[in-house]
Amino acid sequence: MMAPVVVSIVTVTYNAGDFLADFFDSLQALDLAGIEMELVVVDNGSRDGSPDLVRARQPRAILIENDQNNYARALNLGIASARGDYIVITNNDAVVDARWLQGLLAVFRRDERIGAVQSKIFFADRDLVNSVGVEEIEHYYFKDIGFGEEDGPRFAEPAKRQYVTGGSVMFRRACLEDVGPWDEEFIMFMEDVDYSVRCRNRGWELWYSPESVLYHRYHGSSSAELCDYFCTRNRFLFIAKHFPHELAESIPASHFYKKGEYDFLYRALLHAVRSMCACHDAATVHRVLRDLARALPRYLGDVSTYNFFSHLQVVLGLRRIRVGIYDHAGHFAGGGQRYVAEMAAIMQDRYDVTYIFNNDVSLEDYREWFDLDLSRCAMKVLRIPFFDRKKRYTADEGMVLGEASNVFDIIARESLNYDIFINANMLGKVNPLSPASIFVCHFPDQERSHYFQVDKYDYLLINGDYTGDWVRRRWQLEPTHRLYPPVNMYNPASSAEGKEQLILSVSRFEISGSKKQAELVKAFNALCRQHPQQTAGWKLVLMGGSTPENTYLDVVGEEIARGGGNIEMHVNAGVAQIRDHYRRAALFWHACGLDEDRPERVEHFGMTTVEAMQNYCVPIVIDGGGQREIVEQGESGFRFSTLAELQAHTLRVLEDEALRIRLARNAWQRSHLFDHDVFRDNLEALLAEVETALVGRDVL
Amino acid sequence: MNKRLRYLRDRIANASSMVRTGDWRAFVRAIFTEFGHRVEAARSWWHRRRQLDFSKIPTSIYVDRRRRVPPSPCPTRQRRAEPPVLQLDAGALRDELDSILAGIRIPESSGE
Repeated sequence: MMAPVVVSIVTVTYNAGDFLADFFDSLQALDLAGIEMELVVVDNGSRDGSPDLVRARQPRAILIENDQNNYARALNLGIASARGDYIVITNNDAVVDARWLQGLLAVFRRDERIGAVQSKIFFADRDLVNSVGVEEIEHYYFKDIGFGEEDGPRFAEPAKRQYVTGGSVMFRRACLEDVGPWDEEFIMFMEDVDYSVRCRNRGWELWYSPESVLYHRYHGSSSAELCDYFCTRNRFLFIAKHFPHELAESIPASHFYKKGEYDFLYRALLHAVRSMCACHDAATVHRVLRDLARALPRYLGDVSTYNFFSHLQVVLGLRRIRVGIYDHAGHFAGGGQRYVAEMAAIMQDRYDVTYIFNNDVSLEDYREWFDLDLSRCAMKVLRIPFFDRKKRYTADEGMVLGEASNVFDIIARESLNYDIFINANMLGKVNPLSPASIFVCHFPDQERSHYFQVDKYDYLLINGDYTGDWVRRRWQLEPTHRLYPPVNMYNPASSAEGKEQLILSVSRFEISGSKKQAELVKAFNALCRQHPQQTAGWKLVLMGGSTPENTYLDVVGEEIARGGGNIEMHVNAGVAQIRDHYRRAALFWHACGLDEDRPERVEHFGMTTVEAMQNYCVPIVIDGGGQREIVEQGESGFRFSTLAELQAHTLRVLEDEALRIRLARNAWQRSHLFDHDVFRDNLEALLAEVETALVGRDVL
Repeated sequence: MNKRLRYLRDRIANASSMVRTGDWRAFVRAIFTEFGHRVEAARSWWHRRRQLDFSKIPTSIYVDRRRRVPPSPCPTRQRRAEPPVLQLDAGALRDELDSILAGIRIPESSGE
């Protein structure tokens, strides 16, 4: 008696619970004369309990749980575990006929060179043929032979095929071992066409067997959209691998191009060329690249063509990622500049970072202003003729309205030189042309107007929820990421207990008076007059920067002179002096936004409040803008809407030392949410996302 | 007031101001600018009517078609991938790509 032929059935499941019972039932009815059957099930991360069903219904089956939803990878895992002389790959949203295996084996006996045999596949719900092989229709699109046709004599005989479908196909083990693993880059769909070509290239024949019948539920476990996406994507991959010289010519017939899905077209081509560079010689690759350079502008435009070849250098690992940071107000020392400089300091070791300015400034200035070392960044000054002609020192986008062309195009053109372009300071009229772009918004000062470009950025970064709310209202855009400014004013010498009778306020003395120091003075004087006992020994200190000849200083000085409380004003104090006051102050006042109805005049975030909290100062701040996100009412400080509320909250804290200490400790604890480490972690998470979009590959 | 009438009124007010102040250079420049706008508007209308591809519109060199057309919902996510192991000289490939990039001419202004 001859030893039985061992046949392994490899099937891949993905949420196939509805189909498996029927499939397993049909396996029970198989004619297994002379066959020892082995079942290998690879599950691609089903969420419907398919693996449990397999264990319950087929306890002898080998069950493998794939950690990725990748069909080609699942096949490789299954085949590696199979011990059969013949290995069948089959769909399981199907039922098989009793002679399914016998019919396949019969064809193999014809010739040793036959490497694979496909079944006759019918639709399960209609008496029509699904597939009796695969053929190319045109332009490397493939279809099942006999698809949707009535069965008839022309499908009644075994026949040689160019391509076979993975829906139900038996391989000789020797063929699989000779050709090697399935290409996991395909993920799903067309991996069988690729494998067919590879089999034939190795001299194996592919056949079809009419005696082996399977009834298939079409798109039982995958959608038509998914099928079209992968077939179109994988077509480029297939051409790049096997017929690279035809890659450029194949673009206009692509469904991505025909349907206007240019983003898919770009990505699919990038992926295909990446694979081509890994498997073809230099002459072929260079020729195909030149063909693409000629063809792509017709289909994607010049900008995307430029992006494509530049992006390719990164995808192939030929150079580091280039980052361009444009700050149109980078020649001023402000909170926004510090925010982005902190980003640059973190990025400079990871990427080639170039800082772009439109006015004279040096990165040494940044060291002086912010104590930041940006020595690993490059710098570039691009002057904008429009503003130079008008002798304007700042690029005010509000002046750019009906010009014949966008005056910021010089910056847009520059953005093409980078893989990631970061528009650092809310200049909404710069068109980002790089493959990835980030718009940093500290507040949407301008309404949408001529040449508005913010909606073209891939990532819209906000400094807090207050800004995010106004981005939605003014620009009708949804921010993608929130990154609070980094604050680092911790002082080991500060504590909740060792405080002096000092109320501190730190903010710029704006000429417009928007920071409301005069109102704070008025409130403190009144408080001292009304409650001399409770305020005895307390002092208000106002600190902040100022431009020369600032008339608002006189306004504040006059208010102080009215008398009532002990008040000091320190203009342009050094960092050491401010740090010392934070250590000593028990309370912190901030009123920017008081009685304002214009949202841009309210403190967008309020870094000095966080600095105070990092030093155990109890914040009593305006109930508006970003301050609401920082200070929790009654937990880590107080918020006020009127000067009377400011006085009442202050009095309460002055009278209750235990309350002050509790609030100070809570404030210190809360300030950790806004410190430099959190900023770094969140920025790195964002950069990881951007990098993945740049050099990542598809996964399901 | 009708948008077009308002536009016309503003243009006339500007023009008469330039004439009154004798700023003839600005006056001539404004005429050319206005003429350019009209030509561009007519051209856009014609392109829309013919449903031409964006990339075939002469003035739209800066249009990134990937961004202008809303992307279809993608069925896949991205996962970070290491660069492939190349079967060819990486330096020569980089030079080839640099040379291709140098050959793509992008003007300094979109002309839009």
